[in-house]
Amino acid sequence: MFERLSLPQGVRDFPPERAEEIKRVEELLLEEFSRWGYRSVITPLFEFLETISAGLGEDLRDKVLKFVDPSTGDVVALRPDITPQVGRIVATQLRDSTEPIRLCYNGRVIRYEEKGSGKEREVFQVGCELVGPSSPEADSEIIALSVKSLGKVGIKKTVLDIGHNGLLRFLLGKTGDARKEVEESLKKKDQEGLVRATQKASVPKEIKETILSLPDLYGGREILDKARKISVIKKYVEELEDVLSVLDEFQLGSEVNIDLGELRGFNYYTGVTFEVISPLISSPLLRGGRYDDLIGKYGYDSAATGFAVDVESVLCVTRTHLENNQIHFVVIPRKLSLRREAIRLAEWLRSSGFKVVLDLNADSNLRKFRIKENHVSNSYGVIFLETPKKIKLIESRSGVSKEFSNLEELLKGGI
Amino acid sequence: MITVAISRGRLLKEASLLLKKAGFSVGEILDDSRKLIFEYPEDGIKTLIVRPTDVPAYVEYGAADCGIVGKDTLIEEKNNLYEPLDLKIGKCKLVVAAPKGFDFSSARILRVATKYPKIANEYFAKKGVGAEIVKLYGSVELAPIVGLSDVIVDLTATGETLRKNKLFVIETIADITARLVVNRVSMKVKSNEIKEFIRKLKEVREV
Repeated sequence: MFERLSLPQGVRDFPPERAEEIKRVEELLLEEFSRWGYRSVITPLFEFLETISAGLGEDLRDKVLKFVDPSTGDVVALRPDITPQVGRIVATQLRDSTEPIRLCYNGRVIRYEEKGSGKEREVFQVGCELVGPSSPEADSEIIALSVKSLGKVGIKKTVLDIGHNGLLRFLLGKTGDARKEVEESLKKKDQEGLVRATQKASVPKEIKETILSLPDLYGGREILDKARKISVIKKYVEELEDVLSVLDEFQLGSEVNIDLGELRGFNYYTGVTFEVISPLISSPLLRGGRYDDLIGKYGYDSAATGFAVDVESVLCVTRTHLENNQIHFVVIPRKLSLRREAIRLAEWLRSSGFKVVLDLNADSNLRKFRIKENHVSNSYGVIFLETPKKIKLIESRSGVSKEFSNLEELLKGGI
Repeated sequence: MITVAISRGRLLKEASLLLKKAGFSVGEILDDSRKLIFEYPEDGIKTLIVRPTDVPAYVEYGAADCGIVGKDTLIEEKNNLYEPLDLKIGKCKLVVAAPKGFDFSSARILRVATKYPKIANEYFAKKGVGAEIVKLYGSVELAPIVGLSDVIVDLTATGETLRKNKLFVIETIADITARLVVNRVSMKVKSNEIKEFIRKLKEVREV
């Protein structure tokens, strides 16, 4: 029996408090996105593996949960990422829209994680995509929106970690057979590993020296002064500087950390990439970047940038206010013949905006429990319908009980 | 203040000597084996003494900013960490060892006893040898003697333990040293402190 109750590794059930917190964060973020003109889209939970990997590239093929659709024999995969799906919507249904196109979504993605890593495999995401011309203004809008939206859920102290995947792609593209090994060492900021890896292939000297300097090219803005002097990457460094100077106009107040050696997230990033991190937790709150080739893989060339917030990471550093989920009234009829009045009362209170629990067949145990619970909660009270002419309200804060002879009187005098 | 998780056991002594050389007054780590946390506010560091295989977890989840741990553990665990520096301490080899007279063709399915099931699995798969891995937590050298396995995959520094148990190195999988690992977020939010820490260690490590 125990086996039947357990869940596959990396997925969980969420009790009401947690589920409501997740929903609240999603709502607050989506609300902010809509204030910036981002429209919602919904994409499927699973689709053909071929379609997903068209956007994500080969290396993600092993990182998705896939299965055979029994009705067709097709291999389908649970979505590990929503960005390529949004890209597909743009390339199909929205290709005639005037750019820029601003889209947002919330949903769950499924990640493949090593067994035993203990990491969540089901990730709650809320994200935005800005499709249209590749410009520092577009990059800045997406970055600014990401930081500001975190502010809306109460997260003010963040670090914006920013880099340029185009720069890394350019350098990695020159490493030939050693590419994989260079990538691995780069991800670890392992300079000695980079030395070994670049020795193996005939990497041009200037490229090699630049690659070897990458693990040190992180820190404050002074890093850019250093990086600008390296001629092979100057173009990318200037792009990044352009984005940062537009970003300054948004006055975000977020600390900025440059990291030119950070090879992050998905392979599809082609330009400025970023993460917003909190000193309080080790996984980023959100991650994003420019991906100018992705939508083209679905048959329509368009540049884009976007980001996705990891809702559970957000909840590690902030709490949302839960008073909204408080039940205001409990309505209990003393006998079954009073059901109609009880329903009427509950409906009336609900239509006035209150949250009302209607316990039509409350036995004496439940009644006692409701009164006890009423004492300690922040609700307004428990209402007993004693007879058609006798309505008793037990106020929760004071514990005082008041009697009314009909509904109108209760509504006038009691509430 | 940065927090450093250090492997207990074979690495601890060398690691604390290295820290001392780098100017951190961490002498008492050696003297007091029961205490697990040592704070040195004047040097701006705090050390945690943990099991070798636990170091990556402490650092990855941010309980420590940095860690000192053997490359063997890092290859086996594959964590999401920065590995900016080879500290060149705790030098040893990860080897396949077997009793005298063993050769690969004699075993139909090779049985391998090891503390490193993932490394062993990958290594024999690459070699094209069908292997059954038995994960053990200690005294791995015993396994071939009592017939639990054909070979072992384990660390050896001097070869002394292998010799005592009449085992011979047949292949070397990797040269192992201790690495400095750093938490991804710490590297960014404490970038100056950590850069300085790396610089100091780099200066004093053996070349």
